[in-house]
Amino acid sequence: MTTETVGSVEASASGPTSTGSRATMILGIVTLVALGVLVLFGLILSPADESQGDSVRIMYVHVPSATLSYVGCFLTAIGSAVYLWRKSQWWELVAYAGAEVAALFTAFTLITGMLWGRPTWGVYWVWDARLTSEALLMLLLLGYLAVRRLAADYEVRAKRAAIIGLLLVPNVIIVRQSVQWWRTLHQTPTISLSGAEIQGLMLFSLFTGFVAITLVFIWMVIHRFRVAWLEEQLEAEGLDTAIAERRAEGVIS
Amino acid sequence: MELTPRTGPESEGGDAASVAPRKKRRMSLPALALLIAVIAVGGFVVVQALGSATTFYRNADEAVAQRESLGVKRFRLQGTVVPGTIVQTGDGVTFEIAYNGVPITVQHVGDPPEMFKENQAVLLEGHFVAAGSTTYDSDLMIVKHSEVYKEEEADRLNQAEVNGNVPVTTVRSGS
Amino acid sequence: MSTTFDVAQATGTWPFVAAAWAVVFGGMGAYALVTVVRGRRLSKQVPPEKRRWS
Repeated sequence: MTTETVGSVEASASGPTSTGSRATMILGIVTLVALGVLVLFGLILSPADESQGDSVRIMYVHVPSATLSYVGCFLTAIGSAVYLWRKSQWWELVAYAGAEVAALFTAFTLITGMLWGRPTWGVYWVWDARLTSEALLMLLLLGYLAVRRLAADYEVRAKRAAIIGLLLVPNVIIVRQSVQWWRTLHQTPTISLSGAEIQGLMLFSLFTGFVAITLVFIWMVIHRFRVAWLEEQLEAEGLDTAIAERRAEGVIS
Repeated sequence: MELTPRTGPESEGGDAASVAPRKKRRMSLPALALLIAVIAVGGFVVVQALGSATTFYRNADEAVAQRESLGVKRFRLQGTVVPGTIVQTGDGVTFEIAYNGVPITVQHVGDPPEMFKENQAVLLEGHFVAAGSTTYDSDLMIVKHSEVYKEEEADRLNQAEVNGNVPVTTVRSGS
Repeated sequence: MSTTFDVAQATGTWPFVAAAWAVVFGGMGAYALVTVVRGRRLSKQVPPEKRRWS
């Protein structure tokens, strides 16, 4: 059996001993710098809001977390669709990695949103359309991850998870549009096609948030994908070993 | 066919795992039933929650128009705090809110949130004091902030230039 | 007029800001660490020809 190496330049005969590569190492360093810039602008250099005061700073992590959780959901949906269509394990693992990172960022969105709601709205939570649909998105992602890990044959659990993965798309659309379609406590987007209701250093801080969190997201998905890949290799190897043992015993031919 | 590795940790000591091969794990009927149940419950919750969310609150003008049918039923009310109407009471605060020019007098029990101030959109939970009345008893107040952000200092300077003086920003700051 | 209405006013909004940022940065750090450690552990068990990334 030959293993496909993907344009391997620096991988030695022994292969890397971690999920890191030179590319992800550089990405990691850039990400850390971006996070530093985010802290600098988000917490120190940007001004307080005229009506909200300092709690506006929660936006610089809340909004990018939400956006990247949507990106993760779409990645999972695409991976799920390609898996269901072509039975591509590579894409199935992309979907799995995307879903786990999306769940992490959805949790960030919910927690930072609650911590933002308390000082601005006066309450941590209300069951309006935005918050309710976001909570459902979290449940759907947890459902995906549970089903993906549920003891079963790889094909069975991958297929079940992929079906849930497709459902993420309508859920994300509902979350995103809820503030337009229904009356909600949650405000409408600050930045939209019609313009931005934010300027200057506050806008720049939000921008650094998007850049930094996007880099973190990419780094995480790559590493999580490689972990999932290794897990499946190990499982497949276990199967090969078991088959070889059965052959040796003459159980199967 | 049973394919767990015989050299794996499970087979250590006794080799029970390979002697009694486990049934191949596949999608069982109970698991399928559970999945369908979860989807059904989830769908029900979505429809319920989003259905009620469409009337998450009534604006002041709508509430006044519907005040006969609303009676003393609990509902959420939304409007903008009318300047100059805020009065502290022993156990809370009274003020007027308005939407599309239609005012409602609010008797709120409890501490208002930090961001409560004049010209601020608020969401209230409570009911009209009597059927047909335009006075509303509230026991929960939520500040509904907008998607617009402005730098604190810049805004004060701009307003000062326009008005020729430094504006008083909050109703509570002076007392 | 009473001076403190609720937690946010009594303490200011910085504790909420700090908590939110701590959750995000702490969460990202913890997840990154767990992922890297899992990757290193699994790499030891998988034959080298099956773990070539770059």
